[in-house]
Amino acid sequence: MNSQQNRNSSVPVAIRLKDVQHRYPKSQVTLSIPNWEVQTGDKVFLHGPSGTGKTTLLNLLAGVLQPESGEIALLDQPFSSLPTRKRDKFRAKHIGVVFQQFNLVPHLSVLKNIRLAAYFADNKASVDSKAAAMIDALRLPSEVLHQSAGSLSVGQQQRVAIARALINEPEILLVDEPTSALDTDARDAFMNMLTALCETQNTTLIFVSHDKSLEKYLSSSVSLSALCTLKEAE
Amino acid sequence: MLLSFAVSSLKSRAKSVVLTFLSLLISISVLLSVEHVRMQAESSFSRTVSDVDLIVGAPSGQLNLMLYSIFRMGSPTNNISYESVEMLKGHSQVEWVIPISLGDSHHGFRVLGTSQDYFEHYKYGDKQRLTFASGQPFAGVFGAVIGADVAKKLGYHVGDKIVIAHGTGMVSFTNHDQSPFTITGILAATGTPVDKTVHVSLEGIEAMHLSPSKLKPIVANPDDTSNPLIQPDDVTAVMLGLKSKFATFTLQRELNNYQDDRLMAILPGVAMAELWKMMGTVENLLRIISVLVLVSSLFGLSTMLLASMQQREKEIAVLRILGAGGGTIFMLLLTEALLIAIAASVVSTSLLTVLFSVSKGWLASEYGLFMSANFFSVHNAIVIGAVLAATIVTTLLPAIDAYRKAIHSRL
Repeated sequence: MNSQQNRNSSVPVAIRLKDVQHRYPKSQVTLSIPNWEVQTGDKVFLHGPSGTGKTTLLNLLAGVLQPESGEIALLDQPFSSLPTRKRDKFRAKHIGVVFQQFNLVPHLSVLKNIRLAAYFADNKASVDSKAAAMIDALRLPSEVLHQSAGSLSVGQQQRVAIARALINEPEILLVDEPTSALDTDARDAFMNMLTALCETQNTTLIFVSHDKSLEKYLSSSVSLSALCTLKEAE
Repeated sequence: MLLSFAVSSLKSRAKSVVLTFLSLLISISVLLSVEHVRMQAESSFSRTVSDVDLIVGAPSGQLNLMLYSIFRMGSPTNNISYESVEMLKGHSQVEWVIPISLGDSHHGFRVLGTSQDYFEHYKYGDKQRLTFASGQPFAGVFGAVIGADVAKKLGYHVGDKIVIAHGTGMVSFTNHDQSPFTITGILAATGTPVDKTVHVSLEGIEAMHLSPSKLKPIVANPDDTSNPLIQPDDVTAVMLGLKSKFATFTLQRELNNYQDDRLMAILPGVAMAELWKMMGTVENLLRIISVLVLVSSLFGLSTMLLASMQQREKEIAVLRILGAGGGTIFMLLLTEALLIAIAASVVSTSLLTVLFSVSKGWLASEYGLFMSANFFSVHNAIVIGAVLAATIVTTLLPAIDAYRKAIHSRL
């Protein structure tokens, strides 16, 4: 935990994008982000209507997509220029991701889902006790650890997804519309727990949503239309 | 981790996995049993006769001579004179001589006229001598020694009287009614054609072909084998044991060029190999069929994995986002396929071992097939190894597909 914080404090800029261009396959549309920086520990609310490149941006940040040109650097290290295998490893160790839904492998138990994340990140720490602590912090009964992920409610699954995404204490957490399947009460509880956990781990959070009412939980807010432009090539 | 993930993933698709497993189980079992029966047949075939250096008969073909003299199949074309037998008995290179005379039957079992030397020198399997389950070799004119199968099928015991018919058919029109034989001994089972043979003396064969009037004095005095009427004139073939194996080819050439009788000498091993080569065609056909059955189930396995890719897209997206590379997804599919194939191989081997252990006695008694129930041989290990290699090859297609999809999957 200490070394984690030291590392984070020595890296003030968690995310840096420079002249990033991405062309959508089978179309002439290009997404371009001239310049974007996120400080370590920031909790950025990224909002904008559907179809403005939210998911593409997340894919770029997670390293699933590679930009056509430009440079994405994470934690002051070049990221988008890494070979696929190294990007996969970097993602496993330094980036946590929570989707809208289907975050978990349904046929595995909750604990095994969490162990899987630790396995791919070569995280040899005592995963089980940490998972139990996180499940407790997320106000889930400890029995869920041994239930299959597919048998949980959507709200429970989303909370397990946070635990899974944070088990390796990643420096960056990417979250994509995680509350769209939740009702208002569950949504509030979810947001509080998410931000509290990020706070304790000093995690840089990128939170993507079209729901402006969630803005209040996060420290800063960026509109996608201000950040990037979509243009049709001639 | 990969392994436990694969197991869990297979469990979640239990129905299609079980069906694929069953189809592989059946085809691997077919392949293994065909291979097993083939190997066992070959060894049981070559254990029919042992330690006989030459078989001498009338010139025909070496296969023909071996088939009727050893396997009691087909009919002898011609006989050789008894003077030739005497010549062989006196030959300096010859250690022992077993004359055999065929052509008669008893309730469908072949009757073999021979001498006492048969029980002393005939060997099967790994140089095993014939042993008596009860009784002893025949003495006198009308003694008979029957094989284990004959005794079992016809319910005979030592001391029973039997009648021998002329010809080799099941139904014979000329029964040698006047020459009843008495069973003096029953041989222990050997798993060779000996079990299906009725052995009598050469004099007995001559006696039963005499007219009733001539037969009477012989029946009245059955212990006297010196009556000139029942001295054999000719025999069907002779089995020879030599003093030195090195003399085999010399003697063979000598006998083939023998001037006083038309003789042909063959080496049982060489004839056996030729016969087995002919059977090889059938054997290969069986092999091809079982390999095709296996290939079709492997395609089934591949299809199952390909079809599952659709429903597993999300699962793979999750793995990708956790940092699993395309290579990991590729290995995952390969592991799943190998798990099914290994399980099918293990179950198939155990199943066949149990099956053959249970039916061993029945196969031996009903069909004279002596099958070992041991499936844990090097040969079977090679067969299973080949099956697993083929599994990997047929899984490459879905695995590469999974790899590509994984690389291009989005959040």
